[in-house]
Amino acid sequence: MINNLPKHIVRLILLLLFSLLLALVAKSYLTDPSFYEYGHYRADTIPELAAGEPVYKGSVYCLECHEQRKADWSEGAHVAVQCEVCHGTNREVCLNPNQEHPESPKTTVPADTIRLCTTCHLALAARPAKHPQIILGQHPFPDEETPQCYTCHNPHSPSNMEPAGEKALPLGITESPAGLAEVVSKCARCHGKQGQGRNKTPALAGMQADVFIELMNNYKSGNSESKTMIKFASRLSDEEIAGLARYYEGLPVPAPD
Amino acid sequence: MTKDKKKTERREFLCATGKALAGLGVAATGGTLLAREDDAALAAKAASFPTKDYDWTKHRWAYGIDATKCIGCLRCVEACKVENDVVGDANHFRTWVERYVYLEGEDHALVDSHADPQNIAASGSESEYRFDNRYKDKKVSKAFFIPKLCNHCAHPACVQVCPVGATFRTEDGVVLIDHDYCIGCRYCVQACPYGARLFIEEEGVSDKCTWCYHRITKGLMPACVEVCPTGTRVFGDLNDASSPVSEFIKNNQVQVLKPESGNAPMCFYVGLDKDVS
Amino acid sequence: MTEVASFTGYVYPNETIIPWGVLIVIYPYLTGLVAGAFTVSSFYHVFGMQQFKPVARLALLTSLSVMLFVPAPLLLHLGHPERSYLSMVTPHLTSAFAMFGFFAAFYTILLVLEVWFVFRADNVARAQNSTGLARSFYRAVTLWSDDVSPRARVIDAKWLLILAIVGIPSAHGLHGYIGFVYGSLKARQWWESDLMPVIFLFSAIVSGIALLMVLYVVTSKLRRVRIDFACLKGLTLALWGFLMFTVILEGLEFANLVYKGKEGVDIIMEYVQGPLFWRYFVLQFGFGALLPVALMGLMVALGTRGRLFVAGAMTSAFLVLMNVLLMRWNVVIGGQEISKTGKGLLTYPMTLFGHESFVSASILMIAPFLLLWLLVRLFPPWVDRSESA
Repeated sequence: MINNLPKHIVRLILLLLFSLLLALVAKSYLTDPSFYEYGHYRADTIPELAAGEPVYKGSVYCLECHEQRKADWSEGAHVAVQCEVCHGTNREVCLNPNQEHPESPKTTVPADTIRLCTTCHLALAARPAKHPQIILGQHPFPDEETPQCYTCHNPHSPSNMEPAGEKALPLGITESPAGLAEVVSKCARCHGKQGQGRNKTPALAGMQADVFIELMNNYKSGNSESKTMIKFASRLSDEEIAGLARYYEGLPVPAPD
Repeated sequence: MTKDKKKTERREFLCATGKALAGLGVAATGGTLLAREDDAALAAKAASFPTKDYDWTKHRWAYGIDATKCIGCLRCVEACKVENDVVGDANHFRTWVERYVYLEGEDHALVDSHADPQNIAASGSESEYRFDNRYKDKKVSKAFFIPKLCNHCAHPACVQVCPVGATFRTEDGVVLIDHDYCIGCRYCVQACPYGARLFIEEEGVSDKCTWCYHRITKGLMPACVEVCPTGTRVFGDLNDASSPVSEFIKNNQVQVLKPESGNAPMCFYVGLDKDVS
Repeated sequence: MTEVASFTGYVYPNETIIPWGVLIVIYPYLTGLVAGAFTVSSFYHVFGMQQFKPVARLALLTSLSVMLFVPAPLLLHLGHPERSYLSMVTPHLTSAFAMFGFFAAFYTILLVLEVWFVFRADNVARAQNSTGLARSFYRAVTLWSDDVSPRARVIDAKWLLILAIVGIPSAHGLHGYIGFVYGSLKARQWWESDLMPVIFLFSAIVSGIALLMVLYVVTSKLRRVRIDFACLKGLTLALWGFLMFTVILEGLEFANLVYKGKEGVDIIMEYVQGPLFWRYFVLQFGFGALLPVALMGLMVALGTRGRLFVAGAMTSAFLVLMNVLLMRWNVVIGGQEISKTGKGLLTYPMTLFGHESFVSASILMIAPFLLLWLLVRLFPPWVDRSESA
């Protein structure tokens, strides 16, 4: 019967069969060898996808070197915040060629802590009520032109400044030098290590003791616009204020600029 | 007559050769295809898992979100972008967070995400993530955040519709994309009811959250879970009853997003609300 | 680069880049023309309706010239067009898209064969009557056979009939799977409908009939040949009938959606009464469907003939072509302008120039007709000049 078909029909059929053959061979040749191994996908892609090097190292990695942070951070509320969240991840080899280190715009001390901290702690309507959050205009920042959160808060253990926390108050209760030094170090954050003052924060060095005590008592009774000082003063006992007064009176008056 | 006879003979010869060639061709192709299958079967027996030091048959991953804890800090969004090199603008997210705010007297929530132009203005750029404070002078009766990501569904519509087999579900329950196979048709992007899939124009392929497959196969958590400071995001192995996600599911009444889709999502939520879509 | 869509309300962050743009509007329009033109040719070649003989071969050539451009919008749209063959090498059988490669290949081969058979006798004659390059060309096209004996013609006719019959489900499968893609997509309520494949198909048929009406009248005018009134009337009646049914289907689909009032219908109603109002109710339904139905019905009722009939038929045909293009736009783009959140609407930003733009879409709409011009020169389909099938 085939012999009786017109030649163009035969040629057509041959052409079609040849094309089909070509298609089947092409399919066989073009199919990736690892396809169908586990399913309808290229099995080789699984190890490729699993091979990527993790970027976030986790705090365990950071604490290997930064031991001094360990105590603060592991005991405080920020133990839930990974180092790399605030300090950034490793992007390039930095200090030690054999070890990666965070080198990101956040670096060791973020420049604008208010911007950084309010990422989590700005009062927003949708944040759970029990999450600590502040309204910027109402939060007692020290009277500086560029206030920073760390002026009062230890960023690795921020509840150090909380009035109700065990670790916070009182700031130091004995009159021993060691106890006073701890209190002084807290005053020094705004008033300077030598009591010399900073920007709008006045100098304390050389201030007469009775003036100091009177000012502090004013703050303690809430008789001031400076919410920061009211807060600090209200935490100090009379003995501590007296001790501070004597200390600052003895410091050299700073030379005028 | 002789001429016709020759013609007939030639035709017969041609026909016979053609048939023979066709037959050989079919046999050869069939043989190759069958042989391939045998090789594949052997390979499958030899390797029960395709990655070194990680047996995917031993794990069944799942994700949990406790939306009552979310503070909308968006560190998860940032971590995901950093970890996975996601396009750094406001139109490509593997994970994101939505904010729902009910004003007093309103029955329906106002919804926004950090990709909203107002929030982008508040953060200062498309690659920094913050929610603005637009409700600070309003009376809010109820508000909360809902993190979202790929649900790695058990019956994924996206896998069903892929024409070539570029997206698939692994033995350990993760839906992945083969970027070397994807043809960029974006059928999967259409099919996902959750808006979890995106298209990377520069690479011409579709993309989505991988539950940080490169991390979880090394015993680490996905980046978003790692950085979440409030414990909102939970991940783990359902085969391990003590894993965080197993505990999460056991101790809470959990829901999934859009259960009517039939996709059987594997992200379990606590704290969903009637207006969450 | 891709433009970002603006939006109102709330949309998922990834939705601001619309995945399927104007090229994906053009693609079903083209496959619709392919299926519709083939349907017109089958009125004659399968159903033996003699009044369609003047357009039957032109319809086949139209279907072929559009079909050859059908992969173009897809390849232009794909992120990796060089990998598109993978859908035929490892087709994922659960995916409707995977069917495209096979439907398209099968239908293209079938159509080429059918055209080959229809024009074979003419091409044999042309081969014998020409010289040089033309002769070589026609000899090759006829596979170097000059057999036009009665026996060969009988075989030709038999093959032609089989191909034409198989061609109908093939052409409709080629276009219908697209309707299925939209109709089966549960993620978008604007698309998800059992009626979608049927709507796409009937809409395709009317677009094909309308196109052939336009082509027939235009080519007749260009060739200064009298228009066969029976043919044009046949086409007009077919257009009228199929269009009425299409309007009913489209109306039913929308009515169903509104009547059921499932979750998400609020945003759809907002969309349809707002941004979509003009393009949907006024242009697509009003001017594009109801007006031609009324016009053609009037002509039928009044027994209009002659130049007035031609004018009315042409007007209707153009309106229908606009209607079908709008329908594709309103479905494809419209569906993506309604957010999956059910709480927001986006606006598709079509660019003027670029990869996926007004210009690239327009080129793809015009190019098939340039090819058709070439095919008509090589294989004249005019019935008044030849004797074949």
